[in-house]
Amino acid sequence: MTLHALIVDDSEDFRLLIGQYMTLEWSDAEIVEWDPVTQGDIDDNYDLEKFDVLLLDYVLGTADGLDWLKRLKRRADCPPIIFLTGAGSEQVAVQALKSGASDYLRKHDLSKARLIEAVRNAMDERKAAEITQRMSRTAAISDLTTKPEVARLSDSDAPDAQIVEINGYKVIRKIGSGGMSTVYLVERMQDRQQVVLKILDSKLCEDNEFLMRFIQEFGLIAKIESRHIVKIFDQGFTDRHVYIAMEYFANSDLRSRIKKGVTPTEAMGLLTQVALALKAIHEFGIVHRDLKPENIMFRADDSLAIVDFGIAKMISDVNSLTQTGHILGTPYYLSPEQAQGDALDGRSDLYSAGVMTFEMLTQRRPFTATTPIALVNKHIHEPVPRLPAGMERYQPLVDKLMSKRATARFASAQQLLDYLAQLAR
Amino acid sequence: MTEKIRIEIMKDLEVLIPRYLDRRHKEVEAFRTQLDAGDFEALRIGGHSLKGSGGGYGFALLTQIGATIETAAKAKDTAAIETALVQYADYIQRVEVVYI
Repeated sequence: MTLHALIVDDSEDFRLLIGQYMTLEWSDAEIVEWDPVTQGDIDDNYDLEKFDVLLLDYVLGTADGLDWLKRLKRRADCPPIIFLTGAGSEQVAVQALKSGASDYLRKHDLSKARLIEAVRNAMDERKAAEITQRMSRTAAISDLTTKPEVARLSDSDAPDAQIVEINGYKVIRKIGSGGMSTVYLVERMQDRQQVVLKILDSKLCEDNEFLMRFIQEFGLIAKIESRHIVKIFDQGFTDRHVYIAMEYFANSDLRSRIKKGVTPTEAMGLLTQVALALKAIHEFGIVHRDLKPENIMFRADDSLAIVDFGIAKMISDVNSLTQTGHILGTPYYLSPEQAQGDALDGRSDLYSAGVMTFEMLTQRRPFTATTPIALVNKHIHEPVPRLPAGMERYQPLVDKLMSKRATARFASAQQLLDYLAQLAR
Repeated sequence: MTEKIRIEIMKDLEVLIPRYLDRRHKEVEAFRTQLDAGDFEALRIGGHSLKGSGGGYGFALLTQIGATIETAAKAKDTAAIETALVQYADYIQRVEVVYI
């Protein structure tokens, strides 16, 4: 994607510096420099829509960058603005964010990495806003007219082949549908590879913040190179839908594997693979948030990969809020801190891995209850159940993974891996 | 012989640095002229600009010098500006860039 950026700064040196960093990252970037001292104000007729991002200095010669920011943000065509501040200008940064800036950068310690991160986030924000606008327009049109293609997209009884043909995929069959998404097995037409296509409901696409998180999180997951993480091939947009194309798993999930029975040695092997997957995502700052046997899939060579990242939880959160007002599903794998709505880190996923370990070893869940609330209370208060006789050597592992306090668990997936290596000796 | 001040800067900026430093040499003289003329507004704007660009290019001291000039210009503090300009000229004379 080509970057179109507008840099408004009275320092030519600084404009050149930013331009250089951006050109190093995006070789075909189109960068326009604006010197407020010699060029004056940005005219209301000046087209801002063509820019993905605008970088704006906080002092523009004799003019105040904050005034420019407020004025520019009133324009419908204004792209995300990254505000440039000086040393000791934290208050200015706060005012800028309150006035609509997407981010701020401190000029005196600017680095290429920080600039690129901010610009990428701004581009994602721009993209999300465009999609929201486009979909709102399409929805408005389809409210007034019957549009067969759009109607088929939202009609679950429609022939599947109509649904994703437009995106270069040919539907083989529908795999399933959840509250806010439908999943298809498709053939990618360019190379005839079978992939899974998950299409999110158009309601989600009206939520700009959700779209931004979706674009960012899946962008990040796509970068993770681990055979224990589902491969994301593409994320794309039609007029009314957002979709993700991802790896297809020919074999079953961990739920089926548990039903058939797993030996303790096999369980430790599977847990090791799960720990490797968690290590990979946690290193990228991603918490899965919804780890459960249904989200662990097996390939034809029997290697496993975790699927349905936080986005799945985000979807169910949106769904639960909009439809029922309750947590959807039964929270068998929820960590105590997650149940209480506290901030989460990777150790929350380790708790869920502990619940799965208990289940792999015993073929039953550690906590069950007749209502979700009662179940959540058990996660928060009830001691970890004892494993059956003959499995005592695994009890310390399960106890540590399922500690009520995150600080008492393994500090990281790597620590869990070290422990498992010791256990195997 | 005057001791050099060695500054390590990312190779990514090699294309910009010679020009940047050349402009700094000229700027010292321009600041002196502005000070002689009592043009504190020009000094304030120039100091602010130097404050903004110095650290970004890897010359943290230039950001400090720029901030001093900007503040002193607002206060019309001639002595403080003169001191900062001596420091500025000395630094620019002695700085030696190593690209990493």
